[in-house]
Amino acid sequence: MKNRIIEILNQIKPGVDYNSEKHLITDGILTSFDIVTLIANLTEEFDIEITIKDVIPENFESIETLEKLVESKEE
Amino acid sequence: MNFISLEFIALIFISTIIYYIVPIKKRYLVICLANAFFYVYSCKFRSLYLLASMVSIFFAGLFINKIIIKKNEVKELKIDKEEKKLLKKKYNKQKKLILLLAIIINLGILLVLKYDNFFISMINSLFSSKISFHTFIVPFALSYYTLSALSYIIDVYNEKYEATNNFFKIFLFLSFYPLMVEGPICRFNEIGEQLFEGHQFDYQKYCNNLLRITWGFMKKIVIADRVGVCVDAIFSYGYSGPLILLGVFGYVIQIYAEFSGCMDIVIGIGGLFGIKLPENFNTPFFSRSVDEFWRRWHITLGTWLKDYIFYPVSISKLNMKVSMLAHKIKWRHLADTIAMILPLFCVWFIMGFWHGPTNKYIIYGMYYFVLMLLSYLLKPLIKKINELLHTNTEVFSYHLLQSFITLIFVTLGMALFRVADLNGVKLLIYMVQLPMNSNISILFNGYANLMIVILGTITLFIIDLMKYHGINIMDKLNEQNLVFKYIVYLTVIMVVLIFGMYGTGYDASSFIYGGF
Repeated sequence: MKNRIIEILNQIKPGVDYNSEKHLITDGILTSFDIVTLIANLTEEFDIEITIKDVIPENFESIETLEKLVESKEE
Repeated sequence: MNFISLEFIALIFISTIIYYIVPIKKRYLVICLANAFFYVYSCKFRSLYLLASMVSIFFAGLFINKIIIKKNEVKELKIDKEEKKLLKKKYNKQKKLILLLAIIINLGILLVLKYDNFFISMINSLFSSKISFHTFIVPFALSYYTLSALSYIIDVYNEKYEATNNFFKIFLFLSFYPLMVEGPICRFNEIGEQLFEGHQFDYQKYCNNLLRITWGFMKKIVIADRVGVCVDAIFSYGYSGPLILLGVFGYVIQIYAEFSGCMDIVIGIGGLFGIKLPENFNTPFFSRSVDEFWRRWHITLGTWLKDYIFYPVSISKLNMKVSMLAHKIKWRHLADTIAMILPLFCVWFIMGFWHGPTNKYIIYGMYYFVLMLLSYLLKPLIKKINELLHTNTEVFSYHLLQSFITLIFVTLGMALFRVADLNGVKLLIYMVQLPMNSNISILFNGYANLMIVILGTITLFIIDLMKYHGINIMDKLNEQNLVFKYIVYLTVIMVVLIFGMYGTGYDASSFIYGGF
């Protein structure tokens, strides 16, 4: 799952070391456009439903938090 | 009560002095009294609209809280799964109903008071009716505090935080008097608690905030009001030739100096009470794209629209369906762009409409909608061109070019924002082609005024440049010796007193964004 999320992130915003980056939102790496594209791609890829309650900065800060978000939605 | 008036300055000093005299736990009452005095004195019985907003969101929040508690208790109930599901559904419905009611009350007040004639003219033209127009006197900051009120109730609904059971906190949050002109649009979780808890007096911070307030006054009455004289003359269509361009760029300087100056005053007053209000500007003219510009200009409105319009519309079932269908197209970026159409349209339509119910503002919103969509769509193409041309995109010259292009697009948007109506745009395009019929000195009432504007704008630019590079000028000043610090304080005060545009013929009290 992790690799697939990184792949999606690289398509949206290449040139970022997603394995080590821990502040994708705080540091302004991902913009609101990127987040929406990411949500659309995660929804399609993992067949999950992300609601507005999930759209909080903490869920999009790093690959780990994204992985947790997808896992929680798959349950 | 006007923002730029002696009575307002007196209110700032009296309220902050009393604030630090009373016991720390009761200090919020001083802010409550100052808020009530400011608003009732300024808006008289129209203060009731604000009270209605406060009461509606306070009780709606409490009801939603109760329903959420009941909903969470369902898990513990010893009933079967299907029954639990039905019960949860019932509570979700109740929650939604209360949210809708609160939104209708708050949005209803805004729409009736500010947009009544727009809807009346729409009904009249649709049904050939003859309903007469009525103009309400809109209470101070209606558009601003309504957005704050909506953010509170939506956040409570979305369980971002619990609703407060202390009415004083809602009262303070919606009526904090410095916010009652042009915002910034605050969130309850940012300032609700801060306004309620008492703050200790800090001499250094107090001085810093007084300096920031004076600096705000300088931007407003030394730079903005001085440029405003020239801008007003040009936009009354009496001038022609390159002077039109001067007027358009002058307006960009005017609105930035004025709006950001007002924010300096507001945030400075908040700071006098020890309250940290959100910033509304972050060196917008160093932005390298229009998208970035809107993340640095009127930040609190931008983030409000992002959180309460852009994200909900983007991930709505309808838009997700559009996105799914679009992703059948092989070119992924086009599919992503298609998925942006609806959310961006909603954001920019509301952005335009929020400013006023006229075609001009709606087209202003649509201008940015098209610009944002195109800039997103063309991103890969620009990248490809840069790769083909071996352009180094990480150098100063490229950044400068990006900032310059952004400035041109933003300036065109500002011109659209400033004209009286859409015919004004045609008139400006016509006038700019005619020979110059006056000179700059006449427009500014003499070269001295022009020099003050130039020096003021350069100072503004240098301070923004330092901020852009992470240099905090206030911290730098605090490191200096006492004598130097006081010379700086005195200089800024003297500049405002000597070069400020006030007195007969100047309307120093009005703010462009105060009208929204």
